[in-house]
Amino acid sequence: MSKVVLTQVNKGDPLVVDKINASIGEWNSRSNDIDEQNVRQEGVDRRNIASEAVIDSPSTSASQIDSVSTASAMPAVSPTGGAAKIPDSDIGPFTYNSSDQVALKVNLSLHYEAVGLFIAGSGSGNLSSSLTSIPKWKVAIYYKDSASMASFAQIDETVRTITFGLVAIDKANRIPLSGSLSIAHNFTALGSTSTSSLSFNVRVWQDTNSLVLPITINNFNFYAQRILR
Amino acid sequence: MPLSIPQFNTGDKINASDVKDRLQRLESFLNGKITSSDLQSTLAWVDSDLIVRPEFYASPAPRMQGTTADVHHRRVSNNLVDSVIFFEELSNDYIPIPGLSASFHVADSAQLSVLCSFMTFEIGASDVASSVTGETNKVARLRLFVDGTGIRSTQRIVFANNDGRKYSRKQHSICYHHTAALSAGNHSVSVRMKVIGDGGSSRTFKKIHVAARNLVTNIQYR
Repeated sequence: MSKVVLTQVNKGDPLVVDKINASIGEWNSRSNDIDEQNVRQEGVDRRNIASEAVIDSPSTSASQIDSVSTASAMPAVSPTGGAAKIPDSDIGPFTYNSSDQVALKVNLSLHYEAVGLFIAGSGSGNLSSSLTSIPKWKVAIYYKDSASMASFAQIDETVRTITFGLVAIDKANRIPLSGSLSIAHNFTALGSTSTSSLSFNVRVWQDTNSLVLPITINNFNFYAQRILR
Repeated sequence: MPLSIPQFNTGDKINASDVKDRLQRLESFLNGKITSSDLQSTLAWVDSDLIVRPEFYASPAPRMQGTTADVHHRRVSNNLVDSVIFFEELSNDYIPIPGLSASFHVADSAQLSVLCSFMTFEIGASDVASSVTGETNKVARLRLFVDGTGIRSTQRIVFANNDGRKYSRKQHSICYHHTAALSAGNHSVSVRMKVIGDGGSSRTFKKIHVAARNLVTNIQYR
């Protein structure tokens, strides 16, 4: 504890410079060793101590955010050949040190559209009475840890399926598919390497056992926030 | 920086300004000029009781104000009586939706991110239109606005009802991070609806409901 002890001047004593300087010296010398006993409850953030003077010392700044937003993310495609990256959906890298306490949350929202399904007639969306081949698309967030991974890997908990609930009798009555999808994920698969960085992107693919049908993804927002504690 | 109050020399004449200057240095140090170099650093001594506790407010503007972040939140139930109802005649502009809007004060430069979800549906299209095909008749656009500026990448669409069936009922969600840091001061976030009207000559829908409205606005200072 830093404690200032003033030199008392008693009644009747001569006021010599030594006594004043002793008190000044106490102020000067005690002012650089402040600890918890000098700070009252909630005192770190109020009045006495300069803003942000009391912070932890993580390897980089405490909060890092990276994001991408686009109204026209992916034109109508039929990604049956495997997971296709949504263009310009890369965010990061988010650096971290394994000795830090790291919280990393990832958020995604998008809008999707596809033509409606129907049984009788011809054209895109014709199911030909085969209800077992109703199209299914999947969307997932992928990640890569620079220290331990050569390529991006799927985050299993973020896989979402888009499919139809309605099939019309004919083309005239078909109902297009559209909606929005959101993913909020707290990323915990942090590596043990002392210093590393994480990157993310979003991929979409279609179930190969279903009718091949294009899907359009637009109004796309994807961001992640890393907080060091 | 530690205090640096000059000492007196023997024989100095002490004026009032000499005393005043030294007291001002002391006053300034104690009132917010204590910096990290003044703090004892051999032990980690800052515990949670020394940091300002978060404050929670329930109304009229529900929020949590913390040291490193604020959260402003809104929530309206899914009851039909709590729906916001929009009509074609209401306006040609984007209108803020109650329960999906928040105005707030930011204490310092901060990062903004928004999460929201809500449900929309239209009622009455089959009463006014001879034929309505499901999810082809767009009746409104929704966008997130930050400080009055619409964010195109957050657009969502509302469709007319289809002959009394409920195909057009949609659960919408938006996650958005604002790339420009907010400055200290007052700001607003809102989901707004723009009704796609046709001038009233041939109405194709009646009432647009927005229900089950949830909004979480995160203000990250550091």
